[in-house]
Formats: sequence, structure tokens, C-alpha cells
Amino acid sequence: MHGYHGQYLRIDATAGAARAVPLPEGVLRRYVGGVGLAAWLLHRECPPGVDPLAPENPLAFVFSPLVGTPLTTSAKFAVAAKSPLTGRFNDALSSSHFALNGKKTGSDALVIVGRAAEPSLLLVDDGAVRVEPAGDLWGMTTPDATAGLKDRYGPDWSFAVIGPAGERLVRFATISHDNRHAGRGGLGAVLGSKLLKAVGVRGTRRTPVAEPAGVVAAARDLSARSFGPATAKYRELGTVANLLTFNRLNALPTRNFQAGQFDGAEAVSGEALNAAARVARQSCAACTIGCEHIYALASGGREPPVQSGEQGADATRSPGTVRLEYESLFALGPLCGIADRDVILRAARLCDDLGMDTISAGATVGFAMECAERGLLGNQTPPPIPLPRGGRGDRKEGGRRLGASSPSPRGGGGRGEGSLSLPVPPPPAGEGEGKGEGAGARGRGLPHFGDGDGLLSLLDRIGRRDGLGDLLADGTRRAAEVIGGGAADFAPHVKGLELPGYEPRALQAMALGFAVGTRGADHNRSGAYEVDFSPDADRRHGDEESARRAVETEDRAALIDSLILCKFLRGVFPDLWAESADLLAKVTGWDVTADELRATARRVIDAKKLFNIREGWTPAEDTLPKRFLGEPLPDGSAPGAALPEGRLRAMIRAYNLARGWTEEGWVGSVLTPPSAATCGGWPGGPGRPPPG
Amino acid sequence: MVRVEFYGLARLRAGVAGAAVEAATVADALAAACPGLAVVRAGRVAPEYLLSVGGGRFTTNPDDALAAGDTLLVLGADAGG
Repeated sequence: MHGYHGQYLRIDATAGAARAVPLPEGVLRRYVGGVGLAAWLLHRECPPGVDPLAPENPLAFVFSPLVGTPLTTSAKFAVAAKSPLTGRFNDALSSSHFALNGKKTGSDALVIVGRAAEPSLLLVDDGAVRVEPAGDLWGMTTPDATAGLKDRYGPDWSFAVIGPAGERLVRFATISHDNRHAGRGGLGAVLGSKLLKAVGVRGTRRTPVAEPAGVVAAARDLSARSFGPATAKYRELGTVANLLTFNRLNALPTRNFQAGQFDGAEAVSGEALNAAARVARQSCAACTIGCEHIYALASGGREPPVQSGEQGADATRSPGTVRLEYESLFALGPLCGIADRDVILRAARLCDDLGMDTISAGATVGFAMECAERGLLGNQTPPPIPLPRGGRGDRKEGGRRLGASSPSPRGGGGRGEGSLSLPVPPPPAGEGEGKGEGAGARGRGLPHFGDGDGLLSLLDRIGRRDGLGDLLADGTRRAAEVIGGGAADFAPHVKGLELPGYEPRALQAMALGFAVGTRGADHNRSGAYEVDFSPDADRRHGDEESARRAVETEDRAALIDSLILCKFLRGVFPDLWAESADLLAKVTGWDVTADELRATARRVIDAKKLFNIREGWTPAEDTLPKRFLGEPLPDGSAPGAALPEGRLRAMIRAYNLARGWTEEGWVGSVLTPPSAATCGGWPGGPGRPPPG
Repeated sequence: MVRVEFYGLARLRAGVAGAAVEAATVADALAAACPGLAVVRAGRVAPEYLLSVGGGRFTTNPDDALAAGDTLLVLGADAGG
């Protein structure tokens, strides 16, 4: 077999043991790798109805046939599990040497189940697995844990680590590697629930390719094109360039999606950041684009009000720089009403250190700000969640620890205490009441829009599950259920996943993409914004044709995420399907065609949807919060843009039919509602791989 | 007069946020506002740029007509990220 090892490694963290499971070539050809193979693996390995934070929930690191080839941007991998944030299929992609070293361990995927007895480190060394105590790392930030592990084990190893947020089961915790993050859906909490601080990989096993000379030639050609105009934006300014553009189009989510334009947009724009604070540009492993723009935190600026841990003042030391993307910029800036560039940079750095998804973190704080300004925050008590034993966040030795002083994720007697809950202290009443919007929140010490210190403080409290942060650490959907008072109407999520930086009323094909996304509101699995920004669509009046075109953007994403290549390359392919088939043929030796890959992409999307159906999906989930369906946007370049519910429903129907599903979104006739409720999986019983 | 506004890569390269010009078409406006930017090459909009008239309508046609009072936005081509 070329391009693959033909097996995955099923690792039991409880026993510290592993076994290799064969992957038939037919499965690999039908699902390719990355997200596609992850979907197949979760159908096979994930017990129906499993609690996402239970030991039985498998966490899969999945590689692809292109990993290890000289093709630019191919050092990527997918991480997948049933999400603790959404309860649905979740996958997150990232790029780093972890992909290269992970595949060299000798498997096409690492599937981790079980739970270690104490905070531990999982090491996969050329196929051999061991679990080592890692109590000394528990409580460390992601960069410090990564640096400590590199120092301890040497440069041959790569590590995927969690920060304090993952340890405390924050439902939007990330998994970090080379200080990049597999960000969405709370996969860091899944790793934390297994009491694993990190997964380390090292290996020597390479997979041959079918046409070595052809792959090298294709790699040279692709690299040359990657320097061209289609990727210029990413190289020269980075994704932060979106902010001012979206602001001009009234599509920049502002103050928890209450507006599409932000008064402070110029001050926090990519253009301004580039001029004032950019210090370097970097690339992912094996990438020629170089889209990572690094910014300096202002010297002498305000330190983030991080609660000091046992190391006292050491917990507030500033690392000095941060990588920033548009999604972090919008979520920690305009969405929270923040117009202070340095506060945004510090907030992004804090999220990275704690290991939290910047989109969900910023969206959750923005949501809390609106709740506070509406007078809805008070004595809410988050529902208890079961906590794994043995993971106290109070170790002392070495490294930078944020919030390590908190004795347990729930503020009680440590993780060993089981289910705990902590009431949010009622705010002092009537202190310093001001005037105008948000005055009450300001006066009572609650977060309010534009409050930079409040943002930084609340992010830290979320990462430590302290007080109000404990409630918000469960994401906006769960927080809204506890807060009540109509908060659910403006909690910015789909299926529990917070919306990225695209205002749905101003970009209505994207609104559809959010509503139907299998992992929730998502800009990486649906590129429907491309429809909105095309000459033959009206972005403020989505229609059935927009929906049909959105399907194509999802299919392309499914292919790219299964190969895996970087989506920033998409503009360099005149014909993605044909070129992808050619690349895959050169690597695997298969006589694969563009049409076959189109069918593969559809199969991958079907498999993700079928997983969700198995886990309880209903058509009612495919929608947007009431705010977007009931409130038009205020003035701007899309004045009064509104998305009536009937219009969204018509688009969803068109989308479902274009996918070959029923009008409501059930997949074919195999799993209609009665059988979905009873069969628990694929025809023939649970755990069987999907057909086709 | 037609207002031309630059965003992202276009602003970085043009060195200005915008300009007011006399123009009857998209191509005329771009040529007058910042000829060095070369938004239109060989009669087509260069792949790194996206054009919108007033923020509502997008265009890839350099020959599209503009009227006095129109605003032409020169944006980056890819929204993702």
C-alpha cells in the first residue's frame, strides 16, 4: 500500500496498552484520511450515546496519505471526537510537526480511549505506547508545557498538549502543538477528561509513494503556485485583513451580534495592526505560504489581570508576542466592543496559554456582557458535571501556571471530590450606578462591552472555572439555559458551537452554512461566504440557488480536509477535483478520478451527518438563534438586512434536497426518524462502518 | 465623482485608503485612483482582488458602468480565515 500504513493504533489510556487495527484499503479509498477517515473511525469506535467526557469517548488523531510528502501544506492532521460542547461530531484540523512525527509512528490514526489513573503523558514511540506520570506538568500553560516536554524528551518528539482549560474540562478547550491549536469544539477537554496532559509522538516509519518523481514534480509546481497572487493576502497581511472589509460590508459581528459595524474598527484593523505591532511572519511545518503574522504586545502596557497562582507574580509575566488571525481578532475585539489593540493581543495570548478556542471564548464573554447589561446575571449556579479523579490543578513545580491556585475546576475540594457546583456570588447591589447602556453592569462589577480588563479577567476565570467563569466555561448554549430570561434568544451558537466572524444577516448563504453545519456554526467546513461574495448572488437575500451553490463549497472543504491540504491553497487550483485526483493517484497509485473524489466528499459529509443522527440530531437543530431571524441589522451598508425564518427554512430545504437527503435533512431512506431512534447506527447494528 | 475605497492588500499596496475620481466604468475608476495597483490585468480582475459597488453588488467585470455618487470597493479576494 502506498501513502498509508494500513492500520490505526487503538490506545487504552487506562491500561497503558495499545493494539493495531487493520484499515482495509477499500475503507481508505472511500474516506481518504483526515476528516473523512475520522468520520469512519468515530462510527466504528464511538459508542452511541456516550458522554463526551467519559473514558469511553474516543479521541482520534488522524493523518492522511499526503502527510510526509513534499507537497506544500500537507503536514496536517485532524483531531476528532464527539464534542463536549455540541454533543455532535467534531473535528478540528491543524498543521505542525505532530502530523509528520505522528504518521511516522507507523499508523494512519491514533485512537485514544480510557482514562489514566493520574495526570499523565501518553507517549507513542515508533508504535510502542507508554503512559508516564505528568503531575509536574499539570497546571502549566500550553507553551510552557510544550517547552518543558521538548527539553525533557528532545527534538525528535512532537507533542499535542492541553492547557489549564483542558484540565478543567472547559468545553471549548483546545489541543495545542508547536503552539498552534486544534481549536473548535472542546477536544482539549476530551483529552483532559482522560487525564492526559499531552500526547507525544516519535517514529521512523515512512510510507512509500507510488510515483516518487511525479510527487516531487507536483510538489514543485504547487509550491511555485503557492507564491502567487491567490495567496498574496495571507502572506502580506494575513487573515486579519478581513476585519475592515467585513466592517465596510456591515458583516462584522459587533457587541454580541447586535450590529454589523464597529466604531473602533479602524483602530483594531489588520491594516493598523500590521503598521503598529507586527514583528514577524512564520509558516506552519512544510508550508510555503507563510500566513502566520506575529504581533508584539505593547511594552509597558497593562498586564492582563490574571489571577496569580502559587508562583505569585510569575503568573502574570508577558510572553511578549502572539499570533493573531481574523477570528481571534473579531471575537476578542468588536464582538466584545473592545477597541484597544493591545487588550485584544493580550486576550489572544491568554486564550492560547490557557488552551481555549478564541472564537468560543470571545463569543461567550460577549454574550455575558450583553446578559449583564440586560440585568440577567446574578445568582446563577452552573449544573454540576462529573469530574475525573486525580487531576488536581495545584501542582507547584516549574513552568508558568495560570490559575493553578484554584483547588479544583469547580472551586471545591479538588477533582477527586466528584460532582461539585459553585454558586456565582451575587454582585454588590447599587454600587456606582451610571447612566446609559451597560451602566448597571459597570456599576456592579459585571462585564460590559468595551471593558478590556473585564474581558481579560473573565477569560482567566473561564480557564480556571472560577465563579462566573465556571458557568461560561460550558459555552453560551448551556450558560443561556441557566441564566434564563430570554438569554437563549441571543446566545450566539448553532448546535452549541459559537458563531465565527461572519454576520449571518449580511451574508445569508453563510447563514445557511452555519445552520446546517454538522459541527455547528462553522466557517471552515462550509465556505458559503464565497457564494455571498460572488457577482451572481445577493448576499442580503439568500435564496434556493445560493443554497445549492453552498453545497459545492462544503464538498470542496470535505475533500481538502480529507486529503489534507490547507484551504488557503484553494485559489491556486483551477480545477480542485481533477488536480486532487492527480495528486492522490501519484501518492497512492490508485486510478482515482475527479468524479470519484466528488462522491468521496459527499460520502464524508453523509457520514458526519449520520453520526449526528445516531446521536440524536433532529431537523430543529438546523437553525439560527432567534436574534438573527427576528432582528434586522441596524444602519450600515446593508441597512435593515434581515433574515426571515421562512427564507432560511427554504434555503435549508433546497440544501437538503441538493444533498440527496429528505427535505428535512434525514439521510436517504436508511435512517429516517423511526429507525434512527432504534437502530443506533448503521444498518446491521451499532459500530458498523457506514456503507459505500 | 466616484469614490474608490481600498481595503486589506489593496490598501497596503496603494498606500492610501481611497480616492475620489471621475470615471464611467470600473476599469476607468481603478486606473484613475491607483494605476500602479494593477487591479485589472489583461482585461480581467486580478485573482487577489474582489470588487464591489457600494458593498451590495459584487463584480468581476471591469467594463461595468459606474454612476456619479457610486462607491467602488477594492477588497481582498478570499474571505476565509
